[in-house]
Amino acid sequence: MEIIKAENISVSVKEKDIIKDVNFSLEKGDFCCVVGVNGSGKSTLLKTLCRTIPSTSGEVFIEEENIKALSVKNLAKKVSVVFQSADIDLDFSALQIVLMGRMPYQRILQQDKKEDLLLAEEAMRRTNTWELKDRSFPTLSGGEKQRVMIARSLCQNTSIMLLDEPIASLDVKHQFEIMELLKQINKENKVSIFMILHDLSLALQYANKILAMKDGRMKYFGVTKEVLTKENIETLFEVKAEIINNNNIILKK
Amino acid sequence: MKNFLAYIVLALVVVGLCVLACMVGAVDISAMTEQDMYILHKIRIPRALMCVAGGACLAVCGAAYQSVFRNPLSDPYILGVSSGASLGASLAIVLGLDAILVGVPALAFIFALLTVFLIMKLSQVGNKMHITTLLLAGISINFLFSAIISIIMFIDREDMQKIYFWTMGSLSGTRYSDVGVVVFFALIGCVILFVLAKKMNALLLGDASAQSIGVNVEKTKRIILITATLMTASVVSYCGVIGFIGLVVPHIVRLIVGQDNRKIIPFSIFGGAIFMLLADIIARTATSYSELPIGTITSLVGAPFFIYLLFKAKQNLHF
Repeated sequence: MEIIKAENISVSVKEKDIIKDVNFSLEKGDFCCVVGVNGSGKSTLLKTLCRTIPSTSGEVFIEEENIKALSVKNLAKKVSVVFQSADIDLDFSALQIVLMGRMPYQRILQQDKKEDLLLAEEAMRRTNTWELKDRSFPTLSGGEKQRVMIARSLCQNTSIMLLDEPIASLDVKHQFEIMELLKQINKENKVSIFMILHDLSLALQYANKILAMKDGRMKYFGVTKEVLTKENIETLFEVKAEIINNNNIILKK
Repeated sequence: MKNFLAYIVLALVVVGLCVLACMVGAVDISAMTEQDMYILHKIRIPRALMCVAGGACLAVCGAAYQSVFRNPLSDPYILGVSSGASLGASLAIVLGLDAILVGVPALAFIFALLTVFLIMKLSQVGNKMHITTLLLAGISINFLFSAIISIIMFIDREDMQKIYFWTMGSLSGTRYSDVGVVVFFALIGCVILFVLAKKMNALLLGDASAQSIGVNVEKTKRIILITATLMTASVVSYCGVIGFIGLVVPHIVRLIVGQDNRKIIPFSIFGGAIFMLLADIIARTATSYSELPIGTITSLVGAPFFIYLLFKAKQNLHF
């Protein structure tokens, strides 16, 4: 089944196209990485899929439902988002942050129920953050923060998770940690992943689909090995590329 | 359960302070003569009730604005309510409307709402409000209106003192009908803000994140801002500009109960009432010859306390 489908979506601001005529669809269980240079429209595309930015034209369907027809709350039951900078300097505990993922399922005055707490615990154990549950969010390290945000997203129990450069500010060790975590979630929880990623080697190793943006248009889309070729990378990024052992990409000026 | 107990204790403190506020003052009413009872019923009880409703409103609105704008320096006057109300009240006084029962508060209320509307329109970008523009627009309007008020006072020197006292905030001459209006806005407003407390928590994460967990961001913000504006405007129209309660009380509450708005909102309601009652008691008893404007007391107590909070926060900053 198509988990997400974008039909001719365009976003323009003051008649300037930010993204134009993007068409693609993902199947259940896909792990899709979005690549492209800065300003190529990756973030705008992601934000259009979760309706943070409304599309100027075209339609987005999640599990065959048009997102324009869904309430904000119902959309949040289908799509969860992890943003790049977890710049929350508020004294919320990690557990409180994760529990917020249950909001779409709660009535307005409803307290967190036993079931919510259990789901939060499960999500936090899954992301290896349960021992951090009482820690104040701002005191966590970058990697821990990102794992807590992924736990919140997991707690939202959605069929697709959108991530906007979740590992951009992390060191190599923690980049792999997050990628492995997402792989597990993708495989075991059958959550489709749609993530913006700058590291092409990681994309090559983890994604089964690649969506490449250039100048606001979708330049390539398809199976990872077919998209991330030497020629395509050189067209996209205007650098020289070399692919080693099918899982590492060396880039040169 | 623990919270519930705390609410009961705080409610008892409020009632206790109300009783104290009714007992103390320029005239000793312990003899309970007919004249004493008149003072109690006609002057002190409505005044104490106004303290409770007004203080609660200002504190809870401060907490709400701080969440919506994700800015700890927000207070209930951030959208220009105080500037607008002051201008409206000044005009009403100059035009002699203070002779009519609701002349001054009515004009103050209308001008407060118009000013908020103007500032929100100025800071609107597309469908959203731009916070920096909003703050700058608020400051500009504040200066503009202050200048106009100064000119009004300069031209009409007879009313200068009245206008000046109004802007410093005063609860003297509070009537039951005044209390009724403020209580009406306070009750409805506090319920609405309490209901939205969980969504305020989500708003603290930022607009995009809040939306991703199912909060209709613009609609929620609009409801909170309209509610808080009406509450603040009703208080300012009757009591004048009483500073610092709306800024300091939510911060004190936050220090004690943490960041969860589901606690901050109800605790601020009690905190605001207590702060205002205490300030009014001090204002009425500090000097023997006359009563001090309550706004000066709240600032006199509030400002040093706020500086202390800033100082403490600074110590936690690392470089």
